[in-house]
Amino acid sequence: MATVRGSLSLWSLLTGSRSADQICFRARSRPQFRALLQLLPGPCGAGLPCRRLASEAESGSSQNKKPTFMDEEVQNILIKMTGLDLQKVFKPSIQELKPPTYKLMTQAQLEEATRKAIEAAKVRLKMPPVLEERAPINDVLAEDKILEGTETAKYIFTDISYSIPHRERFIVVREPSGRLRKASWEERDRMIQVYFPKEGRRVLTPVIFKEENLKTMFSQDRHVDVLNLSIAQFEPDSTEYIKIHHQTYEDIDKHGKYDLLRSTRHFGGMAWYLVNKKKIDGLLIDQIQRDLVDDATNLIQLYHLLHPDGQSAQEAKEQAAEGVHLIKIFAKTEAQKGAYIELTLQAYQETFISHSAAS
Amino acid sequence: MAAAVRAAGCLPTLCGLQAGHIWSRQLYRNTFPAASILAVKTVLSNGPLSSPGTRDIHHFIGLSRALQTQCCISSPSDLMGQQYRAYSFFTKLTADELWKGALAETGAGARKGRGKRTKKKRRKDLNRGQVIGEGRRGFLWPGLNAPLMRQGAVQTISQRSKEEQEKVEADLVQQREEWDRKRKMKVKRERGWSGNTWGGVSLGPPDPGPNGETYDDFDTRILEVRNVFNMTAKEGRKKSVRVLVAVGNGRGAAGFAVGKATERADAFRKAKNRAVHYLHYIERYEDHTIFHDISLRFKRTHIKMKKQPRGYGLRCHRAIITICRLIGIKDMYAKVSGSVNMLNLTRGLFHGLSRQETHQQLADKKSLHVVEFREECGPLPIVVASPQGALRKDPEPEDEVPDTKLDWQEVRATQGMKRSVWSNLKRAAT
Repeated sequence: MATVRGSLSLWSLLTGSRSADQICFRARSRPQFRALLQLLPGPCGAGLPCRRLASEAESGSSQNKKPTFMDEEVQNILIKMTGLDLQKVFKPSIQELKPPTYKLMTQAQLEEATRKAIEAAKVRLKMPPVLEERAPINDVLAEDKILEGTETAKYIFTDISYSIPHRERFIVVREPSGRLRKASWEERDRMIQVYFPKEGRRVLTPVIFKEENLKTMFSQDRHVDVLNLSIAQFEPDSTEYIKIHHQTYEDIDKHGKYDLLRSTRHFGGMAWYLVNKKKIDGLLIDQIQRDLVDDATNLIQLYHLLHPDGQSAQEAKEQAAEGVHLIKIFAKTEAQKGAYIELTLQAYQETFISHSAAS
Repeated sequence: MAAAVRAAGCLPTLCGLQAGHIWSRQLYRNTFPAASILAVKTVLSNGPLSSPGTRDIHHFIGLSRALQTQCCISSPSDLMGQQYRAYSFFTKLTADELWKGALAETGAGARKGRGKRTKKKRRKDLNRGQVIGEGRRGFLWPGLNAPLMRQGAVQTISQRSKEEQEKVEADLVQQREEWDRKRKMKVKRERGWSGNTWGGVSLGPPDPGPNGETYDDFDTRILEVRNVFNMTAKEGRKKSVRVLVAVGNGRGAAGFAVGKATERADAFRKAKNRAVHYLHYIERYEDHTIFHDISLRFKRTHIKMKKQPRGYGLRCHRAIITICRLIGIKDMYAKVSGSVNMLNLTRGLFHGLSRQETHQQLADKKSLHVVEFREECGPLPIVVASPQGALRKDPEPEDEVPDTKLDWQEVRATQGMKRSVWSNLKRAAT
């Protein structure tokens, strides 16, 4: 499973150990990582390393520069917002059924088993990485005019040595015009899948990722399935992956189906996307309606982290607002549907008061 | 006394010679076409019944001489051999007596099972469709086959035209043929476990009880029909039909009973109504399977039942499938070894199923939580039952090697030592 491997390698790199599959990503500043970066050669997207090194050179914390997806603060907020509903995380998957097994347990044993289940759930809820789109490769290695006209098809040469990470493999294309160039990202992915097939990934893109089929899936509320399939099929920094994810998030935002992704590993990605696009109103309203006011405040805090120069962030800093007050400030200043947010907040407060009065 | 007259062909109706004198006793027309012997006798309806004396004999001899000369007066319909005698052997006895003689239900051939199934005749009511007043000449008698009054006036006796009369007769013939066809039509019996068995055939719901209780939601299924014999002093071998029947409503209530009678239908009825008085309530897990694996031995019948998940179906002995459908169990595996005596099988099955231990009972007995782990749900623990009383603090002792009795046949199957064509056989669902 691509995501698990990807995220595992993420964490393993963060803790400083080497792993075979390395994905280029933005990381926190760590001296070992900087050394690793310098060792990494080859097709890693030219623009990134310089920027990363520069960012790390400045300061350790992410205060001056924009916070990334992998920052600890951001991750904590996102994990808290995702929630942990065991029933939803361990929903019965479609597989061949076997009769269940029964055990007699004391309360202590039951709690132990629940704890283990929560650990397993946390592993399942590890968020897939959010990366920038990879820059296309346009590297020409040689121009041999002498070979022009000899062949009628392109030839792709792949280095299939086992111990090279896929990102560092040399895959080159000899075109009929005699040009020897590095393969593009799509060609690379295809060749690697041919020689090193990964489970769940097809060589040619499945039909389900076409527009009309995606629309059908969305109308059937199967956003989670779409996202899981895209993680299995594409690399996290490929164009299609990012496009599909953005499309899914837009559709969820349009219809307000945020609860579909709650307690899945995709919630964090969606929240990150919405905060970056400044479209958190729908999500806020949904959270307040489900009495998740803490999550709403966390979301606004994340928003202020990402857009500290905005009006609401500055006002909040002045007034040192907390909780519901924070939401009110945001609703007044930067929200598009400020009126709706205030209305829902009012309704929530009334029900809260009546509940506390009744109990 | 009728003088027999030999005629070359068929005789026309001589009734017409003396119009108005019709034999008033029940006559059989168009029946038992006799051979070429014909006799016609008319008796004067008014006046005392004159014994056929010399006058009649002369009358008949004269007639015969007249007929011998002219023998082709017959109409085409009478060439079919439809005879008509006003007074014959058949008119001297009642219908019941005649049929008793024809069917021969009692007799040495019928006793002791000597009667062949194909030689059984069925009684037919020959007067069906007959209307008093309808005759071959087609007279319309007001009050009998024509309306009495028309516009206030009493009608007179009239006669139908020849064509109309033919049409009426043809209609009657057609109607009688249709009745015959309907009688002969064989009702297709619902097929049970296979073509000719009564096993698995449904008998419908049991009859309502004396206090008005109905059992409409119960269905009965026959499990076994057997002819058993008993030696008696007078008749010798006396046949009796013994039927084993199970009833159930598909929601946990089921029972079985045996009914014995001389006739099969009576035995069905007895068994059906008796079974409703012996119902067991069988607990099911989530309404589709049993709570745990059961392996039991009842007399010489060994049954091993295994719990299965949804969608597995009933892969068991056909009798067990029938009974489980009546109980409401939808997914189970069962293996029957040893004796397959139907009665012991049913008794053993009900015995085992009634003695299941539900999860709640197990929890109460052990004062521990009963926790279910499903493959498809991962490591998630699902608490199915908690003890009602206090919860025990010390855990259940677990050995390293579990102390369970292994079944040799199962071990052979898992080790791959079993070579059987019947394992993993693809059958129809459920």
